[in-house]
Amino acid sequence: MTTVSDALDQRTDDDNEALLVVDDLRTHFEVPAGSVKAVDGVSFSLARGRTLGVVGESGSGKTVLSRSVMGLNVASNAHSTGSVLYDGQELIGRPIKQMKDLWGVEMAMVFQDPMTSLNPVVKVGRQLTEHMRHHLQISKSEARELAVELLRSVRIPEPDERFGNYPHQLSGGMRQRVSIAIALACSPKLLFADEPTTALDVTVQHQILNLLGQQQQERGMTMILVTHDLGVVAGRADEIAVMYAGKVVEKAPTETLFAEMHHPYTQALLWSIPKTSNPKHTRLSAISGRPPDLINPPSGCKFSPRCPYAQNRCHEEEPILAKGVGPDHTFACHFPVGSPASQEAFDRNLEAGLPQTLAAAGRIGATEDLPDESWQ
Amino acid sequence: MRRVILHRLMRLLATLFAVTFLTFSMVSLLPGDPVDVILGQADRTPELEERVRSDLGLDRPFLERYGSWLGNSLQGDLGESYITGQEVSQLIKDRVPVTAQLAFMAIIMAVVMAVPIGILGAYKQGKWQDTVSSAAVQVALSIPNFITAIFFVWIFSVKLGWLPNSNWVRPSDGLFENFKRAIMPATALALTQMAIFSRLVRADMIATLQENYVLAARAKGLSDRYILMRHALRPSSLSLMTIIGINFGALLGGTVIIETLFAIPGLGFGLINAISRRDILVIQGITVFVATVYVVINTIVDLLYTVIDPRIRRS
Repeated sequence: MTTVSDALDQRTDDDNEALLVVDDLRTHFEVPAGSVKAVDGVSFSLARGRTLGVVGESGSGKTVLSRSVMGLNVASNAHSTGSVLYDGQELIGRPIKQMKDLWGVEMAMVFQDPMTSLNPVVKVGRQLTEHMRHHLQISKSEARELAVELLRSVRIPEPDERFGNYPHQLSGGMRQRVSIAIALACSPKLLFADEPTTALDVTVQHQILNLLGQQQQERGMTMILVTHDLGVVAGRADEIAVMYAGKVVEKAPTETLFAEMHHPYTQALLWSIPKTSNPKHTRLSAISGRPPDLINPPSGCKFSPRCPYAQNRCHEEEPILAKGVGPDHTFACHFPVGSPASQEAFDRNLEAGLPQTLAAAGRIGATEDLPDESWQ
Repeated sequence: MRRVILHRLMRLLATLFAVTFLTFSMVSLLPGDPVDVILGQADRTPELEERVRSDLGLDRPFLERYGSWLGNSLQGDLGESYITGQEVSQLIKDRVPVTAQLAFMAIIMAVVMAVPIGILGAYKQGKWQDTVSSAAVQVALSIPNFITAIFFVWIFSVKLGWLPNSNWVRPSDGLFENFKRAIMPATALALTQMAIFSRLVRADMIATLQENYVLAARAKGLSDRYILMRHALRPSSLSLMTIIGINFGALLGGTVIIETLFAIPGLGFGLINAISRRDILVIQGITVFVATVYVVINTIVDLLYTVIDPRIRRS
């Protein structure tokens, strides 16, 4: 027989263990040209109440990753393998019918663009209450009360009136607040925020991120925050996973990552953030080249064709995600940034006149068109 | 709102002016002398021909004729049939309910069939349900409605003897008898419409299902049925509304073949008779009426858009 204290002990144990364990998750889309490896062997675990930041440029697979974890890849040509353990339950291969019992209640998602993720012909009130009524089996008036309370908690003025509005009657920031309220409506344990501020005004971005952080703390939610902007996750994520070409190339606790990043791609992402402290007319340090073809990715390290440090070894041998110096710091690079070997590699490339290296050194502007075999 | 309606009214007048002018001139351009058609093989004297000509106003210039017709009809006088002497407005009043009943039944049947078929095709896109329903729709679309009608007559009137294929009965003279006579022509008209409507619904629905808000609705754990009906159907029905309006107007004026086939005393049958007899004022009257209804229906459809999509309301 279990006593109350046993149950409490049990609970604390549960609270300590990870809410989400993802192991070797792969999502491939079958297209006529071949198989698009959008997510290609991603593993991580996320403890309750923590925030994981997933960072990468467009096409790195971060959105597909969050949808795959949630089981939301609806395209019939998508196929996910590997393992996603949510609260001890395996989600990969779980029938859609049973996934629907988790969606909205256990896990919810805030989408990128509130202009398109809210239905223009359905009133805000219905969009807020429909899943509450579906999952929580509550009456219309109860749902309405909860919804107005939610709108108030995401700081929407005149929530009673907004309840009866259509989305187009609200501003972009207000709409994203509504989206957040919708996601929070059934008190999910796990919240996915997929570029929640990308479509918004800079002035509003900050408010929305703070709102998300505050709601997460109040509700003890676990969160996966997907963004292309290292600046967004800097103060808000406990841990950061940097994705490139469907793989995690570097993962570390946030402070560690910023203190000693080892992957050249992470460094390039950081450099590409404009800084107000820079002198005027400083050239923006973009990353040369384009994200790789995910059907026929380059051999070796996927970032090697764009990497200012790339050596022959990088083009031939794919580095594995390995432990770094600090605790929980992993990265996949043969010439980790900060090591003497990488400095040598950089100098060698600079001498050889490799375009991306010249660009990284600020000698030329970044270019989108790198020759395919630029290292030879 | 008032400005919208005023604007529409202006447009209606312009349309009517163009339509009447064009029909008037086309009737004049029809080959053969109306006088020959009207008098036929009867004993013809030059005096008789002259009288018919002046009765019809054919001895006056075209523009003058058009002008006096326009003036009279603006006062509500559409003239009378030269053949039967019946007032044109009375003739229209008698025939409109018949045609309107057919058009209504056809459109309602078509929508009731088309919406579920279209939704199913989009929801099961590429699966066997879609293949089968698309093929059926294609067949319905390819067969002209008079062929379907003849087929129906052969089965239900000739072989089974269940339904009469002529001798129209008005609803006021027996609802059931009326229904028995209306169901075959209405279904024949409906099948083609159903095919058009369901293709539209399917195509629009497929586009809507790609929308982010549908994905967002899925992520809330709502049932597929609920998402289809509550989130996807309304945004997918704008083009359906448009085409219902256009086709309803077309059915009002254009059920000629079906009405002739079943000897239904509607507008289309009346129009055909008038054309073959060169009964100019009847042709004119029916055309004006159909054009008016057409514009009015499309105005109503435009106003209905705002019901479906709240974003249009403001602008």
